[in-house]
Amino acid sequence: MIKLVGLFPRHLNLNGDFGNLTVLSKQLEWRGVEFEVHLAESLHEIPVDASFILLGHGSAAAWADLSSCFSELKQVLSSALERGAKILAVSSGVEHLFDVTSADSAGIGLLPGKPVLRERTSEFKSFVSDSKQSLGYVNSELELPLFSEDGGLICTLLHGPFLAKSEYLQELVSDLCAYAGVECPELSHAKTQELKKYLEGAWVAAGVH
Amino acid sequence: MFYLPAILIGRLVRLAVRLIRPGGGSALPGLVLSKIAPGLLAATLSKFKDGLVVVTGSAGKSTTTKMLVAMARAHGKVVFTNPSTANIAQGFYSSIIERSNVWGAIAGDVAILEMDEGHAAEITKRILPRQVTVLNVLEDQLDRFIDPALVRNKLGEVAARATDAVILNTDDQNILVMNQKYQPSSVTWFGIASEIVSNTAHGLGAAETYLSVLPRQEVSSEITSVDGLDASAVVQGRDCSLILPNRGLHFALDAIAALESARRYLGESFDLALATKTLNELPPVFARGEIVKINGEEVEFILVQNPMSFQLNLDNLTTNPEQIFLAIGRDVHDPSWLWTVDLKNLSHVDVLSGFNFAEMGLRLTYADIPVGFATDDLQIALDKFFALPRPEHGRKTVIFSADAMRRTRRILGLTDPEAVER
Repeated sequence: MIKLVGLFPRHLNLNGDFGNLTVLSKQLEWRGVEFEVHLAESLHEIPVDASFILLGHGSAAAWADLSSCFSELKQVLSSALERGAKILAVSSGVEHLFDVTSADSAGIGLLPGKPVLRERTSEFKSFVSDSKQSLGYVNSELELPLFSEDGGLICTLLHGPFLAKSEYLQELVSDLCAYAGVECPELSHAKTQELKKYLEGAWVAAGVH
Repeated sequence: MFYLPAILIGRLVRLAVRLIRPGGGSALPGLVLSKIAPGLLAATLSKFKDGLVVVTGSAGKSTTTKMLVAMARAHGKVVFTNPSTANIAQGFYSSIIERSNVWGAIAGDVAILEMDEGHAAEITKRILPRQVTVLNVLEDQLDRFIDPALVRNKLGEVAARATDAVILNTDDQNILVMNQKYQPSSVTWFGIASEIVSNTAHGLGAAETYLSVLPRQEVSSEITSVDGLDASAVVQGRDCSLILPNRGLHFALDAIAALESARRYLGESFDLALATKTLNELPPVFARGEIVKINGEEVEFILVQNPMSFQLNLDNLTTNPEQIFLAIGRDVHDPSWLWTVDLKNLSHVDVLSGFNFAEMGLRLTYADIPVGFATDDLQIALDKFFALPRPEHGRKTVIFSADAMRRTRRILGLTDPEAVER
């Protein structure tokens, strides 16, 4: 059974980042793959066999409110990665994975060091990684790559429903199915065409290439 | 004399824009004037004998301002105000072009202006407001404001600059935090009885502060019951009955904010009976529950500007409209927030359009909400929608963001923003 987890929905959905869970859920539902969604307001609500964990974007106050659980959260995320689960961190979710945040407060400590700041960007951006295109909105002053993937840890500065406009989505869905040991049927032609129409429109409106 | 050439240039620009694009032209003339005569705004606003009254916050500014202006006028005050589409700096300059004499002076007792929460902090540096009403802090326009706490700080600076009166919402923790930090003087509070707010699906939608909950302040004015369009309130210990301009708790909040603001501004001359009569007869600000006749058919316009206005308006779609037009325009710079809205009250969309139709289309697809027809061409979309036969029940319902609203109104020939009937 694929288990999708959204961490701290009350705190870390400032830019609609939990849309990534919606996208994954629907992709699995449309393919007829069984899954569960867990919205975890505390670390105890995270299933020990989670397949996917979302760490979204939150305000400075939201992160400050969560800071007391960072060391325990590091253990949860580390063990998830060790057993082959995927973690998607978004925007300030990426920033807080480091030992120290850009504001010099303690981070979760899953990544070493402290991110560097640059001039804030608030605009649509796109990137190509491993021949797969992605489009999304960046509102960040972090000097970090738009996307990186390392051993199951996926980091992106594209906030909101990044997966809805990323060709990486299909690979992630396949990986989650493989992790759970279940088949991953193709999407119906009609659904693929419906999504394709809107994806093309989103790229045109964003005006980035 | 100093501003005469600038005003004339501004008027020429306005004339040119309106010749090219009937119904448009609010922003550009003001932008030009703000560049060539940056001191004009403060000079004009400082000449009103009752000074400047500011209404600001994330949501509800237009409706609250319109209510407050109507009540002030009913009490005999001559009021200068801004159209609801012009609440940023260049909008104020556009209003001056529209309303001033050639020297930049405007007749009137008071300027009552709704101000964008970002621009208010800058403008009130140049001219101190007499009175400031702060409505709320929502998770809104984060592509501009980044973090709700930054909005809270800007609003705190504005409130602290008020010389006579500050009117604050006690049902938003952000406002209570702001009051604690900036300690503006002469504060009175408005609100909605707690049991009413707790009975709603999404409350009033204020941004979370993630701080210890501050106690509710003693209110001068409070909504005590809401039943559809009917509401009861207590203003300084006196009961009154209100008829809201549309369904939804946010309109009740606007009404009580306006009543308390009017009471503070008008002082001893404030007549509650006159104020409530005025409020109850007021047409809605356009596209906030506005009913328009198109081709002889009644159509409801609903404006959605941020996650919470989208949410509250959907929560109040009580009749499950048979025919729905949805358009999301260029004003939605970062469409990510569309994914924070719970769409369960939206059974379907007949026609989807606007510059960001595809972003909304993705959101609807992933919510399994069927869409009949989708295009970025608003003209084609409107033609398609209004070619539909009349619904068997209810009215055609048009839901749009601000940019899509302006373009829709222009296409439909509804060029006068003040021409709204209750």
